[in-house]
Amino acid sequence: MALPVDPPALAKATIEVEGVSKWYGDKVAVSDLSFTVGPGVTALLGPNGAGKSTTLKMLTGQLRPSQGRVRVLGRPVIDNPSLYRRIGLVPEQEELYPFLSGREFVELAARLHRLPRPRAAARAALATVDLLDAQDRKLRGYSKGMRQRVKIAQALVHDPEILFLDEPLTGADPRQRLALMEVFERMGGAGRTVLISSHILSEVERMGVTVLVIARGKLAAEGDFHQIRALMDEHPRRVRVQSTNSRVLAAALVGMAGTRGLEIDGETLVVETTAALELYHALPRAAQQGGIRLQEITGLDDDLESVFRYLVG
Amino acid sequence: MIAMFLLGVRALGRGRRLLAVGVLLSIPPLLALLYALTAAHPDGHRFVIQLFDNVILPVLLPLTALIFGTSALGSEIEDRTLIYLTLRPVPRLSIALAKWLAAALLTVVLVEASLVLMNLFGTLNDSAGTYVTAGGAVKEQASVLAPILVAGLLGGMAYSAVFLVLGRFAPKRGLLIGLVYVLGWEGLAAGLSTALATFSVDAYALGVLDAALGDSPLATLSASSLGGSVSGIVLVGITVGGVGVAALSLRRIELP
Repeated sequence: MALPVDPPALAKATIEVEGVSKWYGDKVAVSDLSFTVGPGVTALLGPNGAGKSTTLKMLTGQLRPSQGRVRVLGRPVIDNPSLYRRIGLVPEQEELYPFLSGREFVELAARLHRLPRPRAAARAALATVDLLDAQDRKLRGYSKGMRQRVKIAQALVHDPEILFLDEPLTGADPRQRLALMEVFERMGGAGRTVLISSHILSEVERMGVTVLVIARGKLAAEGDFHQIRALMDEHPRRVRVQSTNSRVLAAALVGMAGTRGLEIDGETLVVETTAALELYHALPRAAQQGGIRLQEITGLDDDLESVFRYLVG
Repeated sequence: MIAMFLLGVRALGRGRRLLAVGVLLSIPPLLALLYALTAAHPDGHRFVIQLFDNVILPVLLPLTALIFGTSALGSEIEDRTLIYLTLRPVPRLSIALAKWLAAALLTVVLVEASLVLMNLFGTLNDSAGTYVTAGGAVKEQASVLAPILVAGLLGGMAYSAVFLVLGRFAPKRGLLIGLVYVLGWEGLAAGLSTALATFSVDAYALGVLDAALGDSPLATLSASSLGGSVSGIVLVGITVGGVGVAALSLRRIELP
């Protein structure tokens, strides 16, 4: 079910993928993908193993397509190192040079991009990801979230026209996530192309205006996020809420639009709703009014596996 | 390229890798010192050349180059950090060259340091000061240091290039394959016949050594049938070829 491509994006496509497949022996990782991406933030969604990383690797020239064609900024990406002057990549893997400090790592990227003032560029990129305080620590001592942020800094250091991010928010705390999402949104708003791969829907929910959904190596849906979201919202989603008083909370939610069912098990309340986002907004209000302390809110089928059940049956 | 070279030197010149090489390369100076202190009529130059011919050139030099050379690209591939070099606007040749330079520099500097110490200790109590040339002239025994340094330099460069390629194609098992090659081929098989020796870096380094020793009777100890110029050219050819193959292979590399 490929939704129509946004015509302006097609007109200004910065990434063009035509009939791309990738297979390893008998195993097909990606099959006959065709899409275009234009300036702005685009989310590449799919559950683990769907083929997102393989796709991103083909878009950035790390892998050769077995079949088909990839063009970035109008040029073939394979065997074209000069193109990397205009591209930034945040790879999926966590491995970094453990003996380098964060500053040295980002400066290395700046030097390899032949930036005129590599130190200043590295400092600016580290400031963007809020890592200046830890810039002189060795990377071996960085937490998972810090490693993600320094990877983002090295991808931003040369102010690329296209930024590819493979699961960029893994390990970042909520405050950092918000700040990084603002960075990506700002870049997209400034006419850059930002392609973010993720398997966490809530991560891209606020950023991804355009989405590409990949399932089992194929393009399952493509288009405006809200159109896809509307398709999903036709199906009820379940949210588990741990609180100090499930019964009072359930009473407050029972009349809410979209609520399809409520299950109470001790301090656990499971709400079945067709308006999950509205529920997330309503919960703190309801808790405050009822003098209830919320302990945990978990979307039981917010993951993309569930989305694909909705989208591809 | 300087940034990648410095990165390579920092990556290679640390930890257990450096310790292992340090232990290996401390053997020749210690043996030379032992010889100088215990031999009744020590001929230090002869001892140094023999040690160089039989231990350093066929075993210790390639082992050192193996340790650094296979790791130069191999570790980047294994550790999945190569992406931070290949996804930059730099020619693949620069990456290969920087990695080779880092491996060759560490190999050559450490081996040459070992050679200098070995020569210094070995000739401490030297008693064989002169020799008679084929024409009957009596000459002072010249230092063998310069010839072994030249042979070590060219040999180290070539071995580093060979093992750079090995690390690129066999990042996981490069060290093991290289060990079999060094001990089985360079250290043993190539010494069995002149024909086999033409496929050995060791034989060409010996050719360079012989040429550098000139008419010194010590040149006969290595007795290479390969001329000095040819040997030098072949070693440089192996070096250039190795770096070239590594650069070309980086253009084709896939990083799954």
